[in-house]
Amino acid sequence: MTMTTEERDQLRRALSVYVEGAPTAPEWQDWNFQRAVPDRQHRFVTGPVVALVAAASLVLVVLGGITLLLRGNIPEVVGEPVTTMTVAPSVTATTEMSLPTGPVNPAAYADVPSFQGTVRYFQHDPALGSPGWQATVSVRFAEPMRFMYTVVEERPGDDDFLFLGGAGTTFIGDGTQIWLDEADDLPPLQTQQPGFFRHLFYDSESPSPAWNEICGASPERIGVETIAGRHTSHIACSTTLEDYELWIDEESGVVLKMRGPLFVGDLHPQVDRDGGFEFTEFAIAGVSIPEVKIPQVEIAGFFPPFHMVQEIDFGGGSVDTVEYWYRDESTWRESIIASSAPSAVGSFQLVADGQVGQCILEEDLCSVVPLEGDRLLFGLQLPSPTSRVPLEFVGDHCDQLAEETILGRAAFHFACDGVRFEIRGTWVALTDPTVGRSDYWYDKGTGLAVKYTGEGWSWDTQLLELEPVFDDAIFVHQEVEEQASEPWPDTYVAADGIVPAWSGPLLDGTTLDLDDFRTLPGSEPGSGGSFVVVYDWFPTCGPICLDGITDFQKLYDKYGTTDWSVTGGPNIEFVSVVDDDVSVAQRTNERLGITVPTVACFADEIDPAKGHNGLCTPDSPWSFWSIGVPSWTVIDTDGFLVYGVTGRDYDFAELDSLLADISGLTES
Amino acid sequence: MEADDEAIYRKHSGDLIRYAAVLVGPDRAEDVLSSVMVRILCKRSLMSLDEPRAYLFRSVLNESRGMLRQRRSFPIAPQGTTLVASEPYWDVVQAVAKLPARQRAAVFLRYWEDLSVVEVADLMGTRVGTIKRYLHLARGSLKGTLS
Repeated sequence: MTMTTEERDQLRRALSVYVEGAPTAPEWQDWNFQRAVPDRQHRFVTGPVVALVAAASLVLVVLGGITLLLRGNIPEVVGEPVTTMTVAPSVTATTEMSLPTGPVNPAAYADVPSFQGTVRYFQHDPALGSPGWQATVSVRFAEPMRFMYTVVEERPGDDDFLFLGGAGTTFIGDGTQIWLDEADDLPPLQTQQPGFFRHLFYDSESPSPAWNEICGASPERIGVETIAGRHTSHIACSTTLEDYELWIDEESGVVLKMRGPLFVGDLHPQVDRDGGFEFTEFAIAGVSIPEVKIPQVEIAGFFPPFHMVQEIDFGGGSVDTVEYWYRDESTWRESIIASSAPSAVGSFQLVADGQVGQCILEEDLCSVVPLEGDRLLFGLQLPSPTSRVPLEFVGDHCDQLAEETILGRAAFHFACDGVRFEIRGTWVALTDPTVGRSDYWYDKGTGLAVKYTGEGWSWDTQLLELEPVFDDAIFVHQEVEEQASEPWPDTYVAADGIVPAWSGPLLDGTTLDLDDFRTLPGSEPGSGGSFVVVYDWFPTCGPICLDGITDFQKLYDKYGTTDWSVTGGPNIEFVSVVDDDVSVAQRTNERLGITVPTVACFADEIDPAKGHNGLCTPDSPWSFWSIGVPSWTVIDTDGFLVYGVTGRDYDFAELDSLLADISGLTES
Repeated sequence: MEADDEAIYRKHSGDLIRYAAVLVGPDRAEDVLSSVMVRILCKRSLMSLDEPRAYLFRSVLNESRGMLRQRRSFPIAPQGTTLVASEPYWDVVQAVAKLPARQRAAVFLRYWEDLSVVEVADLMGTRVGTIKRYLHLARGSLKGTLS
């Protein structure tokens, strides 16, 4: 939908309320201070909580990594069964108070044996007068970047910051990347940076063998203690800002317990936090980490060529009807052919000949760019007919119901609870307890998604035609320059095709040929050609036509008699097409003072018997888009129809504005 | 390195704090930017980033979304002081607050910062088509309040 200038102004005023209310950005010195005190840094990375909370935001940023929602459904563990082998050396009193002897490896977990356990995190906030955030998490660690971290239970605190996603949220490092939930959208899958995930949890130090980093410069061993049945060294750490106590597993070097501020204290200085974490179970053991299956998008050769029309209801009265022409994965087009937002109608995305062309009329943004990588049938609208739930996921999350018949074809019907989608443009089933039931219908013969109902939106298929006959024009790119100016009014219709060639005799004896006005093939855009403005009318039609020709003459006087190359614009040619005899056209022009170049459709001197010269047939350019007279037509330098209105619906101001844009009189 | 980082931060900090103010409300904007900067600077220098501006914008958006999802009900719109509440566009102000974070981000970058859709997509780290969709949906949501 188009925004008017007034609406945009209102929106900007509303935004200004936010912007003007914004505080001053913190001074750089604040951050400089952070970096100048190394110990302080570690305060931010002392717990998996820290890492995971950070991960929710940072993994996307730092790595552009895919996140996978696995809430509420812990993937089945495959591989060898877990073997618990608790190794708890007897506690031996020591008088030397040496520091822990377990692996200390700040760069990696390479030296840490695999283990599993349960760790409890708690936030203690005396100032709040209530228990803070608490979570119990099941941890399995196999090797660097292979781990599984599952929230067993979680109680939100009064703090905004600490929240892992609730019971069932699972984070898996599958050897190359970490999968975790994201609330409302999933970023595209990207290759992770090799070696970035050195740690058990996303960029985390804990449970960590890097206790010396956490502890800062002067750790002091103050005793030994048994934690979760393990022999640990109890050490005191003192940084410039906080004091910690850590309990280090003597064998593995893993921090099994921590007492001290749990992250973010200095970001919310009004709150004095204290908290920590502690393993309630810990065992060095072989563990298995589930494989995360990434469904592969295999559209090539899967879907037959099809023609489809779907009605998509986005809720809130927003409905689009989308037409798809799909020849193969590199040749397809989707177009909005009807919409509750009229200005969206005509928007399309076209992939063909190694190029992606798209035109979003609401944004007045059209472009053709080279195709890079895969472009799935998925762009203007979601969902798309080629989105599908991979069957391997269906069994876990969805019930298969009885087949149904849609458009006369058998369709699978799945009812899925807590499912959400999207990876790389295809949809996969991932559980999300916050998502309610969704129903999907897939055409049995092709796999095309033909119907969906669920929270927020739904879609249905109105037409499905397999192996259709494709008109070549469907896949022809339309070169349209991006418009940075205000969107054109809804009445400006971008056509999908070029106005047909046409020529005819002007009253002055010369010949009008539309081809003369078009940019020569192979020449640079804008290097030639003219816009053509046509008014098609007949003198006896009454005031409608007469008003129109008067306005048309005004526009001609303003734009049609000037060489616009001086302002950087193309020339603008005006043609009055009179659906009457040459003699009538001549007389009318004289009487009304019309000087616009004129073509008369009826030329009795050419063929008196026939009554007309064949110029103004339904195939004439001005009939390309309309069936009425009078009509207004604007054709661009490449021969594309860019504006067409019949009857009284033309708006002089709009036309004036359009021509001012074209001519370069106004800045675009 | 420090000086270069500082220059990068100074160049973008004003934009970032305004961006955060639109996303989570002026009261929490500083928290968001603080969190983002602490996290980044603990790990790396801004100079090491290929596209620091886009990185910072995405960080602010992600941080904001993290905050929003943890506490879904906190007020985003500036609090209704007499001055603000009398603002004739208060309905629009409220409607902006009700937009999903990404739509709000897209609206801000497009209509306040006057960025092109391509630039918005770049800053938000997503596809142009997605941005257009956000804008389409956002305009639909706002339409009723804009006269």
